[in-house]
Amino acid sequence: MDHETREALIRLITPIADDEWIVGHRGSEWLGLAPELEEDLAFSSIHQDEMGHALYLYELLHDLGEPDPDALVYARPVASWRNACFVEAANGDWAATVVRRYFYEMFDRLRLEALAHVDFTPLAHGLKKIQREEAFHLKHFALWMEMLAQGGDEARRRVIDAVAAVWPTLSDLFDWGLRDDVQAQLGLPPALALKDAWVREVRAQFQDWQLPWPGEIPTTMEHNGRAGRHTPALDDILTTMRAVRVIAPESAW
Amino acid sequence: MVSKQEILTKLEQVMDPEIPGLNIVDMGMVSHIRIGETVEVDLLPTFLGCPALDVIRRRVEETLHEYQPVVRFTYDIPWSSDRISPEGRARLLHWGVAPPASAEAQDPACPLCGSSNTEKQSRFGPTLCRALYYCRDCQQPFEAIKVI
Repeated sequence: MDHETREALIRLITPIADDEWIVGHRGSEWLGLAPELEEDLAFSSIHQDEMGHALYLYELLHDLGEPDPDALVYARPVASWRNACFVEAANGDWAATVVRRYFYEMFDRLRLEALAHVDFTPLAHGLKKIQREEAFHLKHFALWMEMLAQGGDEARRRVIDAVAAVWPTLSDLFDWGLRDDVQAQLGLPPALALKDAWVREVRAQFQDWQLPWPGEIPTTMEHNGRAGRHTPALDDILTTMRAVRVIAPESAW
Repeated sequence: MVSKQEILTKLEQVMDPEIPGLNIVDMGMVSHIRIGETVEVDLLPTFLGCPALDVIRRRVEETLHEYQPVVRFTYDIPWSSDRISPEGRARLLHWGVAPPASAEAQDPACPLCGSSNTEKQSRFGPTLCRALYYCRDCQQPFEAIKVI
């Protein structure tokens, strides 16, 4: 593999691995707090999956010449993380988590489909495995959306408020974080096509659930995780996640 | 030289740490065994995030230590619940976990009374590979291996 291809693959895979890792971490923060016992179990399974996907991708990055997964997760400076700011936001209302996770899962499904065009066998093998697991996640969060949208006045109000609150923060999710020529070279569709496909799918489901459509997704953002411009929330996660490591760097896990 | 069958027989001693009584051969996790100067065993992870993977790899290495095996997880074929052998399905049932339902059946039959009058309660159970169900006839909750 030539240097250029290797660099392109590293740039392609890093944001995906980081998204999955941060989603996994935020999900793990609900353990013991989710609204019911079954949901606690679901959250533990789903977010264990996400962290497993991240680990697979971090190992691919290591094979491509990046530091090992532990170093990538525990030692990388904040500005080198490429997850979307959308996934790093702190947890709050349960409805906001449901909305964020549903939006992310729909995006992730479309991203996985788009990645099938990339000619890199170890990635293709991992994707096949990941797709089988992710199908459960999307169904789970779509079901929650439906339950909240049709679950009475309060649930419906909360889900509508949550959609309005997260809508302006969506746009960096759709950014591949790659130069246009590199993106085309890898066989990926433009970010705009990914976003259009997402809008089509989500809009159809919003209609089924009789949720009002919030309109265009704002494109101007102060922060863009794909360019390393994160919100303070990422620093908070990393500080919490690394707390034990910082106190006792040599401890066995 | 040791034969593939001898290696397989030994691997039948390695149990899935999350499902006692079910070994990794019946679970369909052993994908290739190559015997040359060393013994190489390729394993398929059931789920990428399964926390039991490291334990399983270590137990395979311990079980085959006399051959100084090279054990690795491979991803060229995704593991599927169809890979569970008939013996594996029988052992699951014996242990009280419903084997994965066939493609035609919506929900698995109750492992306790055999009734097919069951309903899904949650796609997610106590481990990544299991889901939660309820039997309307014997009125017992039960777990089933996910169809994947």
